[in-house]
Amino acid sequence: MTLEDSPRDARDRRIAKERLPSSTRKGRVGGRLNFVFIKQTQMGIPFEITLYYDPDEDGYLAQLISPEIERDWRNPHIGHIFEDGVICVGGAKGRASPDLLTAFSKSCVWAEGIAIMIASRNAGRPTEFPFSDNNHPGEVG
Amino acid sequence: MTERENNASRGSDWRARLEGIVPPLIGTRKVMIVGCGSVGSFIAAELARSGVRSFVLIDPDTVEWANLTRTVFGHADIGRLKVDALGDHLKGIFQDISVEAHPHRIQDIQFGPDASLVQRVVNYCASAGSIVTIPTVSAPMSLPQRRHLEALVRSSAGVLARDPAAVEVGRLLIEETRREGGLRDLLGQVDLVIDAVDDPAGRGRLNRYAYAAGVSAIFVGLYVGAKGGEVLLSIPGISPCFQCATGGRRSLANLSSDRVERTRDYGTSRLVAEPALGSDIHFVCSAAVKLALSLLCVDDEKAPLGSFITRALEQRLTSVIFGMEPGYHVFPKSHDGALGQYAFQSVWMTPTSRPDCPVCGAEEFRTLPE
Repeated sequence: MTLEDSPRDARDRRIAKERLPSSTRKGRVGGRLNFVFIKQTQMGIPFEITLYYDPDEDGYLAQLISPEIERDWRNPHIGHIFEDGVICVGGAKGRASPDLLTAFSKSCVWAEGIAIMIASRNAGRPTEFPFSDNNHPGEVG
Repeated sequence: MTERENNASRGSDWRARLEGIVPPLIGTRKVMIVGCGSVGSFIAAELARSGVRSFVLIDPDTVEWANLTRTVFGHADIGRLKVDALGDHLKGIFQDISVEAHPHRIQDIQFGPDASLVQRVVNYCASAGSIVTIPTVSAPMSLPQRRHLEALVRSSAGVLARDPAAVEVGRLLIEETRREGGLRDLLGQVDLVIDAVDDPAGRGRLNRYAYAAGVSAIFVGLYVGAKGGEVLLSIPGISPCFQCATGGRRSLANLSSDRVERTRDYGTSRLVAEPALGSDIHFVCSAAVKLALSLLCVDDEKAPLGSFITRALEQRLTSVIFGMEPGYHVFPKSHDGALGQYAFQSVWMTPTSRPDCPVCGAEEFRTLPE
């Protein structure tokens, strides 16, 4: 495990500096460089998300930090988030995105979608994830 | 143990059909089979019949009726763990075969201390600012474990918060470091890994960890309907890893209108099981078995089987694709003009490492398992 930047880390830092929100925090976890940002959604619900490169999946994962998503929604066909908090940003090819910016942008879209679900539930209405054609049939409560 | 003692439970002429082809040293080799379905169970049985005596079997699934059409399992195995059913099958061939069974996904077997757990620490204690301290738990830890844990925590400086929850997570971390029989241990015991999983995420993990552990691996894959398939060798320091080797396959996609990549489940990205002839699947598996046996006895200069792989490696041929149907995929082009072509063709390829590959690329890009 090295704490020094690899060429990939250096490239990602540069991309993050230029394209991610200026408030993005950076830190290493178990040798992995993490980029933590807050996405403020149109529904007024903030989401804290971390982005990092996963060598096993050879791509970038977006993992939700907060808020906690209710258990029944932690399903790639319902809330489009896995049990471990990894957000579906890879589609059918896996959990990962090929690059940091794609992971960032897709996780922002995801946040808008799940915020709509949360707002609908808070209003007592059934709902479903609005931005996917891979939902399980039917709405969830 | 002497050769005579080794063979105490076998008839004196058990090697009669192998003599001069497969050397006795094959009996000292240990093979890890990851995925015990139509591919893994067939390969394991063939290796056992060829003299391999020790296996590590990894697969979380149980035997279903649909498996019986193309595996070594029988109706009495329905509902049993595949690793147990396969273990019994192998011992049914030769009773002295030893099997270590792990009914888990490869992703669920920790390599060492759990990096994803550290990731969860961060997610849980997201507010940046201070450093979590290692809780003083009177758990017996070895010095290397302790140092590793400390390194993990130090590396998280500035991200982890001082939070009561972190103490609980720290305790979990220590438990993780004490867990025995991790993937690193398992890989350290085997001479070869056979990857026969239908889960790309598991395959990616195995690819990286086997390469980092210096263990050769053979990746077996089937295309849509088993009309074709591939066998990819990953030999650390000699050939590219699996991820890079698949680049050769992808480059061929431009030469063919046939869709070769099987459908994946959106949620899990696992390959969706689909109808296929067992004979087509096992055609590809048989090639993998011969390559495996060749790799396992490559050290024995007297064994001609070893030269099968060394000659391929001399030409840097570490990836082979097969076609089982006439006119399939790239074969009409690759075999254009060759006499007597119909089906069951192969093309060998020389894949190269991607410079920024985290497994086999340039040193500065490699990401070793934590």
